[in-house]
Amino acid sequence: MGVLGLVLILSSCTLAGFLYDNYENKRILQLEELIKGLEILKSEIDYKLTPLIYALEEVADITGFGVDKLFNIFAYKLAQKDEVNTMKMWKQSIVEVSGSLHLKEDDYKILESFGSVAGHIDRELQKNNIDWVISKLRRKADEATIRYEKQSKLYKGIGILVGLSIVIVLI
Amino acid sequence: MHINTIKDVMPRHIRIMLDRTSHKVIESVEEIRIRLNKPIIIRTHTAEFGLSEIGDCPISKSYIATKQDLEGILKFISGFSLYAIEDEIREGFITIQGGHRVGIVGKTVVENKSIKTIRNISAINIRVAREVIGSSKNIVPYIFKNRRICNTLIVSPPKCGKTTILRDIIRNLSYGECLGESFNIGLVDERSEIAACFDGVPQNDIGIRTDVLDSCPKAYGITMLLRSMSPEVIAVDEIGKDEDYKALEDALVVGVSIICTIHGVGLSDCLNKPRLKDMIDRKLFGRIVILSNRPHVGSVEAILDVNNNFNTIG
Repeated sequence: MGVLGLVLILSSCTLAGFLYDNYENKRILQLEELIKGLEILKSEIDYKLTPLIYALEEVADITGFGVDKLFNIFAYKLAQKDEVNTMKMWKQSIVEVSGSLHLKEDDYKILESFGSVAGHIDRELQKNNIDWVISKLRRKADEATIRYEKQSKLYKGIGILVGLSIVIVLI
Repeated sequence: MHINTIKDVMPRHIRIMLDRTSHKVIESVEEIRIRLNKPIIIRTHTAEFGLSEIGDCPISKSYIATKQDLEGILKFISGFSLYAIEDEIREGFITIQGGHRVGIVGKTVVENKSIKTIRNISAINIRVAREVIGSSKNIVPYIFKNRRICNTLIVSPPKCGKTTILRDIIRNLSYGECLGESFNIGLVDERSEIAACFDGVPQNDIGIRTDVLDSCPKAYGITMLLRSMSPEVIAVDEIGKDEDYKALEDALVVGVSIICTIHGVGLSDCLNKPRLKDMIDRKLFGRIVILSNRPHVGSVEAILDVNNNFNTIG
């Protein structure tokens, strides 16, 4: 029974280390997908003049890792025509999808600013806004990647080490 | 009458008001006028009504439209994509699903002597599209001679139904409804009023053999159709500019039949327009159809045979 408990403690700590590592990895993937999605959205708006709802659906089709859900929810809210305020709907979409994303508070704040001019008549303004959001997200993704590369092994190692330490102390 | 597509572009509270409006008013509505800080007015052919929480009401009790309402309508019309209807905003009207036309006014932004955009939208006028299927059946037999369509000029003052009649002539000829013979028709719909295309799809019935050049200036459109679609008949609405007449003459030279409309009151008005008078004198038009609104909109006052000393034939 005692051995089983020790095995459980060791495996739980190891798993916690791997999960934290995985969380960071997913954040990077989702940031990259957001950047890809916004790049496509920018081109749909700027070059093809695709209406926002169709453009968002298009972007949702070619993004993944949970980011597609964000664009889909926003497109759905716009199509419902229950609300006029685009910013409000974008913020609501972010809140609804945040449970399934692995982004940080700072990432969400950057994302929110996309809603301020989404659908605006001035394409140049929208383009600049999307470019700004992309550049900010790019910086976050780059920082996260550097940190991840440095600390990935550390997170996993710490998990195992903490587990082993507890087991040793208990023995 | 389908005004559901109009309800679709309204903010929710106005949508509810329209849902509560009496069936009789909805059936006969011609225009819905929404002006900033003014009561919403629904116009039928014979009367005006306000719009409130209980539906149609006296104008004095009508709901007062707000800036958010006007902005909301524009956002809904464009699918939250104002950039996608920038050209239409510049022109001052947008065609929505169902073929209804939404006119807008506000502060125009002028750049290089042309309108860049309209901002601070202060009023929206929604004109309900109204097809009158069969309205041309008394005209079509008179514009057909020697197995071809005569070059026809439809003349009428505003609001007498010339666009409606032209649309039905196009539909009639395209289906081959009255003549037992059908024609390939090229339509230059400069103001999107005839076919009322929405997302490239004609919202009005213009027949199965009609090719539409939507939102295209008439002079360019006529030339483009001649080159690309080899139509038997070209139809255009409201000619008037010099380049329109020139393009029409080019089409007549290659043997395509022309059906067009022009603002005017009777033949004398046409003869006062030098360029048109010249074309009529040269007998480039075979028929002149004169419309009036008496006893009702779209009434045919006369159909003149130009080649036979302007004799009335219908």
